[in-house]
Amino acid sequence: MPETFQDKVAIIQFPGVNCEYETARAVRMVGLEAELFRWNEDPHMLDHCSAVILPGGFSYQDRIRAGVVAAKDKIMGKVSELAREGRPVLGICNGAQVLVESGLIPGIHWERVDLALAPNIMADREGYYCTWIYLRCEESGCVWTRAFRTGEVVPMPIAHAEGRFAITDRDVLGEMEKQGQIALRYCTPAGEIDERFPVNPNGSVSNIAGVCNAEGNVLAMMPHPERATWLRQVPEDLGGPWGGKRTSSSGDRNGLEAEGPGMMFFSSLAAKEVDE
Amino acid sequence: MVTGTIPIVARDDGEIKKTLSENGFNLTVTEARRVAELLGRDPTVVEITIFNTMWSEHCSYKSSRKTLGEMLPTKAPNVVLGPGEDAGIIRFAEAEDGDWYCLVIAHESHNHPSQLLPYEGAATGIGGIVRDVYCMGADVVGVLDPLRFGDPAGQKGRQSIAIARGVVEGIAGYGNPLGVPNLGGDIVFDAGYDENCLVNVVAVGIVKESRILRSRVPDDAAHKPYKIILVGKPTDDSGFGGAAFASEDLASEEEANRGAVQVPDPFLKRVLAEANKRVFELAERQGSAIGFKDLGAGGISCATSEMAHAGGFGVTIHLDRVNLAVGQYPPAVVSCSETQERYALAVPLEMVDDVLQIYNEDFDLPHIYHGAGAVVIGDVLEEPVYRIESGDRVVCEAPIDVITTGISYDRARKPRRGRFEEPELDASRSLHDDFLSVISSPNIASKNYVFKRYDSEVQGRAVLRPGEADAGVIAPLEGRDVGLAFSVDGNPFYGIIDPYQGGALAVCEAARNVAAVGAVPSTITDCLNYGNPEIEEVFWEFSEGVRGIGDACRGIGLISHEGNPLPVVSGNVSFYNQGESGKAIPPSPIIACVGVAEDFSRCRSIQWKDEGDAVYYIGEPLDELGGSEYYRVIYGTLGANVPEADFIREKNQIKTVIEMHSNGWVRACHDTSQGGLLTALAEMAIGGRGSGRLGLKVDLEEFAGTGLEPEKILFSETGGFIVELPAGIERDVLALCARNRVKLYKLGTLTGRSKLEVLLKGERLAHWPIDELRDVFMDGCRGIFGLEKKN
Amino acid sequence: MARFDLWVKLKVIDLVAQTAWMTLTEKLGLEGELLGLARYSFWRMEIETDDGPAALDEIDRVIRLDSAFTNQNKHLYMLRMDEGPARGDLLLDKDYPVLVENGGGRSGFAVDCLVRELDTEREEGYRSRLNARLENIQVNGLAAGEVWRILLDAGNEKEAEQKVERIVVTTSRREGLLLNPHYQRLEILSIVPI
Repeated sequence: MPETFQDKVAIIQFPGVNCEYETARAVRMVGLEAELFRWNEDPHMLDHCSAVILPGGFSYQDRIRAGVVAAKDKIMGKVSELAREGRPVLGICNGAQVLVESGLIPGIHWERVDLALAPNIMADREGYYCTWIYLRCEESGCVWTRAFRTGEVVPMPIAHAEGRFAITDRDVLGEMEKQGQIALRYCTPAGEIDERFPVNPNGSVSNIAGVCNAEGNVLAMMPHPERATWLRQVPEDLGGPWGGKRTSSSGDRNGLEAEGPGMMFFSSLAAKEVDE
Repeated sequence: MVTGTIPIVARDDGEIKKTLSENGFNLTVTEARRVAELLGRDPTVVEITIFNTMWSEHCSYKSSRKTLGEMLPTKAPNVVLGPGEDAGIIRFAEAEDGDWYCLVIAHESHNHPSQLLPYEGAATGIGGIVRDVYCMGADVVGVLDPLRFGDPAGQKGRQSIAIARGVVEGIAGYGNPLGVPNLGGDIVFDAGYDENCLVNVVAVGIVKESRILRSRVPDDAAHKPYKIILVGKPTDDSGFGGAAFASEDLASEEEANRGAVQVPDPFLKRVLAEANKRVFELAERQGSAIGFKDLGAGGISCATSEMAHAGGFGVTIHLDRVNLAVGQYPPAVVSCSETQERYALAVPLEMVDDVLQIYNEDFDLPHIYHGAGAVVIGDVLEEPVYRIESGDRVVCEAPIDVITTGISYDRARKPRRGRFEEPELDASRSLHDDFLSVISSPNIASKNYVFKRYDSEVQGRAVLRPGEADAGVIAPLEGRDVGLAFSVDGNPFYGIIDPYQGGALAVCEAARNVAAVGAVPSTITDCLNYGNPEIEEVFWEFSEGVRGIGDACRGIGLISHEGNPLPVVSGNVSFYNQGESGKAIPPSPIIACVGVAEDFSRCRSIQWKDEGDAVYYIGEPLDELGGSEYYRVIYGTLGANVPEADFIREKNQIKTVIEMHSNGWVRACHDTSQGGLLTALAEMAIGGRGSGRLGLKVDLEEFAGTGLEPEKILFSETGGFIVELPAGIERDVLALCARNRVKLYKLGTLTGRSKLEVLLKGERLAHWPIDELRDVFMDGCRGIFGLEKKN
Repeated sequence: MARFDLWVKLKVIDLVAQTAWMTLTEKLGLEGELLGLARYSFWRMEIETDDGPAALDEIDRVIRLDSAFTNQNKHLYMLRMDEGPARGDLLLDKDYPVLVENGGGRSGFAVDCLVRELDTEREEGYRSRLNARLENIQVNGLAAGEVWRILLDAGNEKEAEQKVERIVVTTSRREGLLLNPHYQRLEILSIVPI
């Protein structure tokens, strides 16, 4: 009898992902159960899972294009079905690329690929870029951001080469705006939207960092909340309220064990579970 | 019956020499005769190929072994495994169950492949070094990469830049997908590396002592059958580029070309790492002892013979069972190919099916990578014989201790006499402008263009990232206070003037760097990069460097266990680093140091924190600008007065700084080395992320007692520390320094005026707004690693 | 105005092409229809010149020295002026790798599909890089991208073109693989019967 994932959060382990353990740990930190699901196991094992997370990494080594090969895997048919039923689905970084390449995000047209996560465009460099940026949580019905106040600004790490949200159809972008699907935007520490690098670290259209579907249960985000679950992970020299909190807690082991800004995505999920 | 031999025994030296060179073997005639003597007959093609690899400088340490053994301390109470296997191991924290958490570290070079193919060379360098750590059963928690490139503004500038960029991309292209964070590294540019770059790689991992896997067939094989499983990428002809075999020619020129390239595959490595974990768990659940080893140089033959020999067994390998990439390869190639991403396992027969299932079905290797998978390729034998069969032919058969016999040379050495002179200082120069030249020079300027190409966040253990502090720091154990700090160092310019100081100072600086974040230097590894050891002056440089390293390890010692040396647990020697002209690279011993911090929350970044805090200088500037960045950039010369390592002074300073951390005093700390005191102050003002705002005013009158000119005070590279401490504890600080017999200077108090000022007796010599420093410092490497400027 | 095309191919096994092949045949059901697949890096340079052969030699010298284009340790390349003279060691006209057996001599076409990015920044970068290194000529226009040489079973050219578009352009989870139309576009360079 294979494991059933009953009431557990399933972390999908595509070959080549590399953030599955931190992600599972973050889920457990908010009191939920998490289990890894290897990509080639029986998809029916997920029938009764409580949520699905596609973690970061390099599924299939980003060959051809980040996320596209995993998007064609059988398990994504199942994830698509679960998403349609309203099960919470989160794609982080490479997971976001998989969600976009499989058409679950923006999901305006079922499984139609309406977006791309294209190679970064940066002022003075190219390729992979790893740093901390600021995110503004936008007005949306997304279940994964409900622990945030609308307009709240938090720092978060990013690490990707293909993270630029790109879209050719302005109507679809308008639709996304209208339906409150743009859940997260890159911003300055003060929360202003500046389209230039490095505030917008990859050239994303409209500073988009995360997009949810119209129903709000599926979110694709490029930043890595699972790498910011403890205060100690926030860089000392980051500045701003979170950086200040980090610096003033140096030397205080318990203080540094406090929750980091990324924790709120996972507590959002836990809060939903309590609600239901 | 063994077949297909290479005639040695009955031939004269000239004939042997011709045979060896025609077949692309690097063995000397004497070595070939020794092979025949050991075997008692002519060797087969496979056998001589095995010896050709195992007796290479890279595998045998034949030139260096004796010197290393004589000069380096390798034993200390914290050492679990010293040099000899793929990686070294120390204990760093006791576990709740009485077991020990151990740190596994390996350090290698991948210089020559990177010069030819920067991306692939560097990527396979990372691939090889992480395999060395994985195969001890550890989780790899980080990599570091000391790099040395040619002069970007020199005659070969364009090529040097292309190599530098390719190497950085290769490191990123392997480490990022693998999910291993980058913890640090350093980069030095110099014309001495124009024709031979250095790509050193360090990997670190964590394992509980009771779960360390050994690269040997377990003792259980004496009373139950054991099989050898080969897993990973299908075997190809990697490492056999250009080599031709008299009896078995390679099919075409195109294949010969392909052999030169090792193809890195972090994807497969990542999947293998997951599958291996499942295999280790299975072995633990079943209580089965297994042996596990990575395949590096020498491939199947080297790995399986060493595994069997270490356990006191023999082995038969069936080459026909090995998964091959496209094409057919002769037995010697299959036996010795350097194909990446492979491991060998020794497992009891009853476990074989489950292991194959994990690799081939659960993790579906054959579909993930065409031709990949796990397959049983051999049987463990009680009789200590090493045999390889190809079809019905025996292509290698010898007592196993013959196959693994080492080789060693006593190389001659002769001091190199160089003429070094101090420059005449020009008092009319502008300190303001000169300093901007120094901190924007590529050797000093921020490496953020490089660091941000690497994933420093994955695994979520990061406390201090590359560039933020003198050492990268991680919190390795969830819920525990302990921190681990890592640094790599080696300034080639000191070694050009004095190779002994080059070795000694590399250890001192690496130790200082981990101490700067409050960690106790607990072990080092060394990667010794030199020219051709058959040249007496080069071998002298090498042995002087090693002597310096050994003396420094004993001199600084293991502070956590007084009376013991700082142990060297692993390392690598890379000879024949030279250009087409035959000119050797500067002597380049590179040291990686691991520090253990009792509480990672006290590990601080170099950036100044609070207005009103006091800034102290621990140490004393001496007239030691030989090899300094100041002399090189401003006067275009190396000078002569290289810093002289004073181990007692180093040890006392290190102890003092660690105590300051333990007392919870330290707000920021940075060592003074390359670029001197002024550079260190500027770096603290700017901060690793470029977000510093605070300023400082320093009056050099404090240093009147040294009798040195201002330039020498500001740019001397004598080792020391700068610390930011809260105001009001001056008396305690002075007492601590007096107790530890270290010199201390108070430099000033941090102010909100965002400016760095240097005065002499109240008179301003120069000043720089922090923004001005930030701009040139953060942008200094853009021309090399950023986007090429458009025309 | 002369046109110079540079084609570069890996000497070693192309893992990207292999993954594409496995995805198309095993996950997108194209087994039997798709007969072969190869991948090249591609640059097309428009250059004003009176002396074509000299220009060819100059470009050849530059791209051989610059690893942004080729590195002889790992690449084969062909540089060709218009349909005329060529330099390099890649025999493009004979390079029709068939990754599976062509089932019993069926008729088919080889379609060269250039995938370019909509954003021209990268192409501009290559152009200025070349111009910084070329002494006697200047590149006026440049197109760059990946070329997928797709060998497939089709009755005629038109059918081949339609099939190729379906293989290349990703429109949904089930359709298309090799480009995402929100930042890339397809240009068919040639369709030839095989």
